[in-house]
Amino acid sequence: MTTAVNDRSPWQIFWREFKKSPVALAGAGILILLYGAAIFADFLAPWPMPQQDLDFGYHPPTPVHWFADGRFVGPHVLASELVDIGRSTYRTIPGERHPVRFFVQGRQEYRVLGLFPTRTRLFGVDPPAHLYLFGSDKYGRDTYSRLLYGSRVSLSIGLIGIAISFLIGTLVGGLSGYLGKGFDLVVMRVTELIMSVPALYLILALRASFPSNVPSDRMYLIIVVILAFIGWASLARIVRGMVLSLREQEYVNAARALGAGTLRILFRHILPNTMSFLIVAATIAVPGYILGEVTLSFLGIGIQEPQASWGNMLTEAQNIRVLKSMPWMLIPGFFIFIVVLAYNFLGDGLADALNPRKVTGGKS
Amino acid sequence: MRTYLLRRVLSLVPLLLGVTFLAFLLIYLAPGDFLSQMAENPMISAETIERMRSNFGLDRPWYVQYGLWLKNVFFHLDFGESFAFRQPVFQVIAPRLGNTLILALAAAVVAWGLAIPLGILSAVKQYKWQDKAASFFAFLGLSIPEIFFALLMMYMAAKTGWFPVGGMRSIDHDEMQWGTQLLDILHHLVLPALVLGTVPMAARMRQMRANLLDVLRLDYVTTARAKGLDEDVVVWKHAVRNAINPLITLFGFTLATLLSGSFIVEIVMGWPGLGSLTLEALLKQDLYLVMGSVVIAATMLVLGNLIADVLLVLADPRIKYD
Amino acid sequence: MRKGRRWSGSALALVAVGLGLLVGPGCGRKESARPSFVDPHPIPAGANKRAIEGKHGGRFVFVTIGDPKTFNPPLANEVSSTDIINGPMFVGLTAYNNADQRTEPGLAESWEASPDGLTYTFKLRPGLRWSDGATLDADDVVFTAKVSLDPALPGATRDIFQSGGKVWEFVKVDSLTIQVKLAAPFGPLVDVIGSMYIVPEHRLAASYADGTFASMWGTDTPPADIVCNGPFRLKGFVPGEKCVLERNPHYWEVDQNGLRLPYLDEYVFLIVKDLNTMALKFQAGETDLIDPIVLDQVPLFEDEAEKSGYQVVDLGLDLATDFMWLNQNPGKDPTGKPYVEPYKLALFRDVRFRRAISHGVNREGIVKSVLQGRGVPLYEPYTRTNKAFWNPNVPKFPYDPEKAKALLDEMGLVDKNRDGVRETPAGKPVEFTLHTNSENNLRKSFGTVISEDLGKIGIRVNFVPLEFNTLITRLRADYRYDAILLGLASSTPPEAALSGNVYRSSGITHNWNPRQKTPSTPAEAEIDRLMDQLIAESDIAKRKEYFDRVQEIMGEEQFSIYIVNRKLYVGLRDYVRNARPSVIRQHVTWNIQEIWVDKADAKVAAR
Repeated sequence: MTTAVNDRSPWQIFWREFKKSPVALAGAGILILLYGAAIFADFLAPWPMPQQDLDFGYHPPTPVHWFADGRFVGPHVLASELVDIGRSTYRTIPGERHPVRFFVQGRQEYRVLGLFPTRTRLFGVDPPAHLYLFGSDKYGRDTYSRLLYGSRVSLSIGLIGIAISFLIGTLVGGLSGYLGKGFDLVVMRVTELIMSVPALYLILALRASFPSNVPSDRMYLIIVVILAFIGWASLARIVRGMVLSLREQEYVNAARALGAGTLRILFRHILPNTMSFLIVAATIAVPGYILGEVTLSFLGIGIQEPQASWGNMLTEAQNIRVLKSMPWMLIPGFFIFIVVLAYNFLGDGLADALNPRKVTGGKS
Repeated sequence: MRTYLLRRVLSLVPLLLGVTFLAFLLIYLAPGDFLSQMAENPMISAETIERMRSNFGLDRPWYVQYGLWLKNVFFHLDFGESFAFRQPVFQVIAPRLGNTLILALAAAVVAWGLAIPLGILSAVKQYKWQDKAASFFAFLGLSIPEIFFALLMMYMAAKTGWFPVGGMRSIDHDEMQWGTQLLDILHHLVLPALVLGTVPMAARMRQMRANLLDVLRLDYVTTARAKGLDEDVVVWKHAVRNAINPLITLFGFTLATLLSGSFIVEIVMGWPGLGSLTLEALLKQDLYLVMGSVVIAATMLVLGNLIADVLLVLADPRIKYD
Repeated sequence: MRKGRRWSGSALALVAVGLGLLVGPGCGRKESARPSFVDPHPIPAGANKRAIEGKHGGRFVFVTIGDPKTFNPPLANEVSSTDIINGPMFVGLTAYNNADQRTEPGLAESWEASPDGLTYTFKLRPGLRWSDGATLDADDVVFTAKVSLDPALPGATRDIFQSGGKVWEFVKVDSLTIQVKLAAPFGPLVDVIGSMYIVPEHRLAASYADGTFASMWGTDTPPADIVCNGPFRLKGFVPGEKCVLERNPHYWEVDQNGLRLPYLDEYVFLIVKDLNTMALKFQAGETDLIDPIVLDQVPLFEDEAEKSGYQVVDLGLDLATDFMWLNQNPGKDPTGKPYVEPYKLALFRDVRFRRAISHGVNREGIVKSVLQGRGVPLYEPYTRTNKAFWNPNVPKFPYDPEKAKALLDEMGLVDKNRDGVRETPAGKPVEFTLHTNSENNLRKSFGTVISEDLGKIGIRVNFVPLEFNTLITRLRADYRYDAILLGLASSTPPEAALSGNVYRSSGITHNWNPRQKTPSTPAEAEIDRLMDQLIAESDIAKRKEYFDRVQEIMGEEQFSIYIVNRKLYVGLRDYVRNARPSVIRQHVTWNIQEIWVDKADAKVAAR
């Protein structure tokens, strides 16, 4: 047990340990950056999410030029035109330079943080030029913009999902461990039931039993709920196990003797002790939700067009022609990879920093 | 031990009952039924479809259908017939189950075969470049979406010709000698097993590393070191054995999850397993085929866990069940 | 240089052997790879001679996306079964020539219709045998009709073999003659009867008598028990992997040299569930045919074609159509709730609204982006590929947002609150939900563009793809939807008389308002009349006249809003000979008995 005499708060101890790991810091940094980008997607994305330009399908990323005729003229792009429709090849029109403008007024109004209406977007170019930073998809939609909008779905699906499943998991698992007897028996049978049906079958069956006659934003909620429904069971069992051992601890008995109620004991005295485990477990579990959405999209039952998600963008790229000649379509896959990696790094760092042995013992 | 086993096996019964009920209910809640597909064909009249519906018994309330199904299972061990194949479901499932078992076992071998040595290396060389490389490798494996990994492997196979593009047997398989047949299947098995085994491999590797690090900090290891034992002996004779134990429990569990989690790989890589069959049945609402698959999958999952417990007893004599 | 086949005379064979010796041992080995064809059975007297030539031996490898579910033709009703059994294993009295789009003799060598069109007499070829050597005669045909028309069996073919509300009657006249008697004339009988695949009475009668026919010839049946009359018979089936057919030694067609067809020793279907894997397998040379090529992968295939030794065949425009319609069903569900909200129903039933939508959909844009130029805009029910029934003069309402807006303005639908969406005079937003089946990627793409396009003319479209079963439930059972985007694959032969269910107001697939007791609009009443006249007419030119009119009304009314007609591509290895690819399914393998593989030659060329 940790007995280190220390005048610092637990938070400070944690931070001291956590910042020792550069990968974990990097993971946290990446995540902060990406979540920030998701929040300000409207501002950062030059195009609204569903906007199409059917004449510019599968356009490769537009290079941004800084010099013209050897002279610095600031960022600009060259206009391009379609050469071969069957192969989606384009050529740039020499001489037609269009400057990249900053803080441009977009066509569509949006609200910053859902509050302040504005049309200002970070950058854009004047028509007829296109600035496709990450290329375009078959409808001529801007992959970069869709990536930003899609991150709202893909990054939040894990957080919300994990929040729901952890809430249910800890509550049910905690009560089950603390109360025991009949309640415990029922809960454990239910969790066993959920865990003994292979997860993907259960997801598919659940997904099929929901009304699918819903707009894509509500479909998002349904998918989160389904994923969370699968996730809580194993967690409840682990929490129950921890509570079983904790409830006989002296301080719990003391609280009970002082007349504290069941819920109070559970929430004030027992569950906080499982916190460090829960935080690490949650961090590591988030990628499962993100990848789960990818799988659902692959099976055609995830987030539906025209709503963007990284899962359905990657599914769109799940094509050998993309592998061969349209690599920019794989960018969403790269971002999925980065986020999952970042969560794993973060989880690893958290586990190390929250590990009591590490605080006292250090390296052997 | 024997009574414990008996009790565990018996507890399967109510569990499976619950699973089948859940599955039946969910399939019922999903709109449409097996015959809905046919309704779209302009050459088939509504009357024909109604007639077929009553032939299949799909016009009765779901609880009646479920009751009948249960009755047949209990009294005749008859799990019903697949609507699509018009054969008893286990006749449809059996060959697929074998293939899935082969794939799951191979994936488990890949996972464990790589995870344990890499985990040990990682722990022994903690914070050295070997550890970092192995950890990065593991994170890589955890982070790449399985679907995409599978497609990449298929693409690689087609471009290099080193491996067959999906499938389980060559077209000439039947004309081959016994030994060549085995090699043929192994050749087809490499890529799917690699793709399927990567995630558990990465996870087990991290676990092995953590376990071994924990053990290496324990008193008896310190004592052994203090006695001047060779570091190799300390690690290999004492620490590794103890660090592997917790992983043994996971073997059964992983095998079970591999069995049920293999259908993406089966579809993309053309492995003729149970997963792709079940997915098709689920989408087409081939009711009893789904039920049969779910029963099998759930049994596998539970048995996998049971095997894990038994393995643990065999590996660690301190643990006893009564 | 290879001349090692036994043609007819032994002298020729001697010359061939001599030639073989001259060219040397390399060639000799090739000879052993493809032994001469020895026909163990006498050719039937009535054998059909085909004006083709080829070499026997070899194997043709194709792919299919799903397992066959049964080998029993009257029970088969989905393509993964019918692709394998109907045609390769079983044939009917007549056969369809995809390349020429006309019906030819099959098991029947001739037929004749009575002047009133109520009796057809078919003459079987003499000497026909089943793959087990038993004689095939009129009893088999009558038996097949009995099982195909039996309402108690779970097959689904019954509905096409009837007219005047009664199923046709099949009568044996003598061992080679069958009469088909109809309650009312049915024009395309000879074409349609080819899809009644004749099954052997001597193998199946017992099971039919004892009520086990519905489970006969499942996929677990030993191959030898499945007795058939097509060019191939079953050699083996491995679930989830492959289905292997081998030459039927009793087949009844010969080539121009009098040698029995088919040329191939084996016809193999590999089961591959993923489209990318299917494409990669073909490119890696593991299969001989890919059909069809996913449209946006066409350039990829073209790039590899020369290097890998195959051709990308452009079959032209497909027979299949994609279209959307608005729910015009005025009915109410059992609880008294209307299927469609009344204000929407009023819009949907207004022809101006439907024309505005047609004007609002950028079909050229869809062709450009989604199909990348591989298709054309579509305005008519039957595509131009359907030589018999295409009508180029159907009224069209092409992309023209201004006209669309004018029509909507005229209806009094204007955007008063300036939110980008028009409102009805009563203030309700002009919006609807559009569904399609989520399994179909092309249709999902069409819907994505359509919803964006209609947004631009002030109609808000919520595009929600649904799983097929869910969609069909909405469409056929509870009727609760606004609009659906679907497609129709054409039947073979592409025959207007078979589409009664679509165009008649009483039809089940009369999508926009099915199963009407009496036609709810004059236009639908007119179509009903035309369809009645059409079905009784045996002259195809007259049938076309009636159907031209039907198509014109469809265009005028925009009951269905047709979207695009896409092109069709297949990939075929260079060494495949005698293939006559056609836009009608089975695009390449419809004449599989004529196809042979020139593989050994390909190897010589490489050397």
